[in-house]
Amino acid sequence: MDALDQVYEYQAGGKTVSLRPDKRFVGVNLAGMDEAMLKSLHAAAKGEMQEIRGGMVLIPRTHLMSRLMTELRDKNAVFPVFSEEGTRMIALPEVRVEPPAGKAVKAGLQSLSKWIGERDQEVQVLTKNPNRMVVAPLSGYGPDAVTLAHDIAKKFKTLTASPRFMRIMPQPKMA
Amino acid sequence: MKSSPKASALHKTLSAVKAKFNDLKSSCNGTINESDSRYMLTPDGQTLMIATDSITVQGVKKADIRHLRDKYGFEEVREGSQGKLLLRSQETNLEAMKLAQAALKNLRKRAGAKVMAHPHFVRTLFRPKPSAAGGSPQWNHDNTGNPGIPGADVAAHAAWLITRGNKDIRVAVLDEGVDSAHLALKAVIVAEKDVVDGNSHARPDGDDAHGTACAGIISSQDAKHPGLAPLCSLVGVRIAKGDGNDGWIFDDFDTADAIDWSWDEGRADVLSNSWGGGPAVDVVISAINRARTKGRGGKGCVVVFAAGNSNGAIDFPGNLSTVLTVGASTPWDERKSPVSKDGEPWGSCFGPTLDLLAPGVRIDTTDISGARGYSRGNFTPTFNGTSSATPHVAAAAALVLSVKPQMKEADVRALLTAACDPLVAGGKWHKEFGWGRLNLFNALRRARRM
Repeated sequence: MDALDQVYEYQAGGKTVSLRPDKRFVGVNLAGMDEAMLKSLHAAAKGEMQEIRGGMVLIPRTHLMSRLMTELRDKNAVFPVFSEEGTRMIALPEVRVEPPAGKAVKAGLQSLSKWIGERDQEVQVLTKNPNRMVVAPLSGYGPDAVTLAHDIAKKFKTLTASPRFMRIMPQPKMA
Repeated sequence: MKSSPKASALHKTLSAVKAKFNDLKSSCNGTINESDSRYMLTPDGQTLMIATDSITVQGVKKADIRHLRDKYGFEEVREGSQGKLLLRSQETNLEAMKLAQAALKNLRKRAGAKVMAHPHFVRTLFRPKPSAAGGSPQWNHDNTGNPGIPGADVAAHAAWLITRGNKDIRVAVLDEGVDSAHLALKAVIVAEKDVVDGNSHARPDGDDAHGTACAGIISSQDAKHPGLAPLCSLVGVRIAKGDGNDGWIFDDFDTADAIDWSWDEGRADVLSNSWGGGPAVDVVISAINRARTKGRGGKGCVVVFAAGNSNGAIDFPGNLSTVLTVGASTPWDERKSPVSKDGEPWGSCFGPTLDLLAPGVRIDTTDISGARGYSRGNFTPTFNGTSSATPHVAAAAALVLSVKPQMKEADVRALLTAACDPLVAGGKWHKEFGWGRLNLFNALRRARRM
């Protein structure tokens, strides 16, 4: 199955959450992209490039021809967009690990540090303080962070591990 | 000749009925034909019934259907669920109605009383007009019945005899920004945070007026458009921005950080959240739990969330049992739904975590200053949704804490729900109404007695 069509899972509130890919859009990370590639992308998007935040944009899948898609994949710049409960989500390559509110933290984070140390070819620690760690997949690929968060939450029951999602939800119509 | 006022009114009503019929006719695939004698208005004047050339039957044998076809010319038009059939006469107008009556009589004779058979009516409800000129613009504070039911409000005027708040009590509005330069808000905004663009203020972009409208419901200083807790302070926290279309963009980590900032550095007592959607994520759940347990020096912040406006299941994080989840009520003390009397097409979400309702239809509040936002001026009369209901409850929590600052978070939640005006018999909790509609006066009276 194409990685963009894969179902991913993570843990939240003690339950498994499944994420289904949005068939219409992909996310493209423009950060660090060279000028020629940006130009090709703008031409391909035909004015339907929607800026989200931090260099991330949404583009209709059908606008990305296979050669361009391959180039973007090679740079790990194309991200699946998930669609759940009327909300579109893009996973960024970060996982925040912390104990649930009011729970002891030290032992859990120590064990996690050791576990990450054994996977230093796949995972890196971005920030660490006594109450929280932010870790990232070395691939820089957002969906890998979803899988990483899932693995951590399953292995370390005393910790929560959240992928970093950008959410695009319908704005309430108010007036 | 000049017609009498009574005749003129009658003529007006008939014209309105005919116009409504024409609308219906075009949407009924030709199953109805016009004949003035078919219009029937129910005694309460609220429902228009239109007899059609069709009949509905259920539990009828095939032989009886054949009989109706052979003797009366009724043809099968549509099969419904559970064995229902819609049969239509080949005649038109009054002749069809007469045939329908004869066929029904005959069918009952043949098949007995067990079968269901009746004329097929098209019915339409007259929706009361929303607040027109001269209606009460702040029905949420004091509902005089124009429109709605007198008293279907939060009893603000009575509550203000007890308190209008205390400046030491802070309500954080986590939203797409708050216009902190607004003349009706700037005096009470004591702290701001922007986690979206990192600005030193929490003012919104462009037409992003949602947060400013929420803030006004809580603490607007304007004499004509007062907030519910005008003496309480506001903390503006910008966590979202419009995407230029109809979407809102959120970053989960930033949202969690904004919640943490609100109770910690922002020193908020109450967190008002008129947003939600998509699957749950622990980073936000944990931040909410920290606010509830560590905020206010360990007494806990009251965290209020909107239920959502899709008329279905409650959005995350409103679907957490640990927050105060608010649905929207109408001036008629209904749960706001696509068929509630106000005539707006949306519905307030409901489900097991719904705590209470508060006014959420056409609320008069602040708009971003100038021509931007919902209206051309600095105020808007039509702020809608559980988004507008939520700050009512946040303001109520702030007023309760103004009276009893030592109360714990869980106690404030319990008090606000116990003080509701029940909307179901016996005052029991109901998935569509929670414990009822917010009654601010009742809540403050209870708080004062504690």
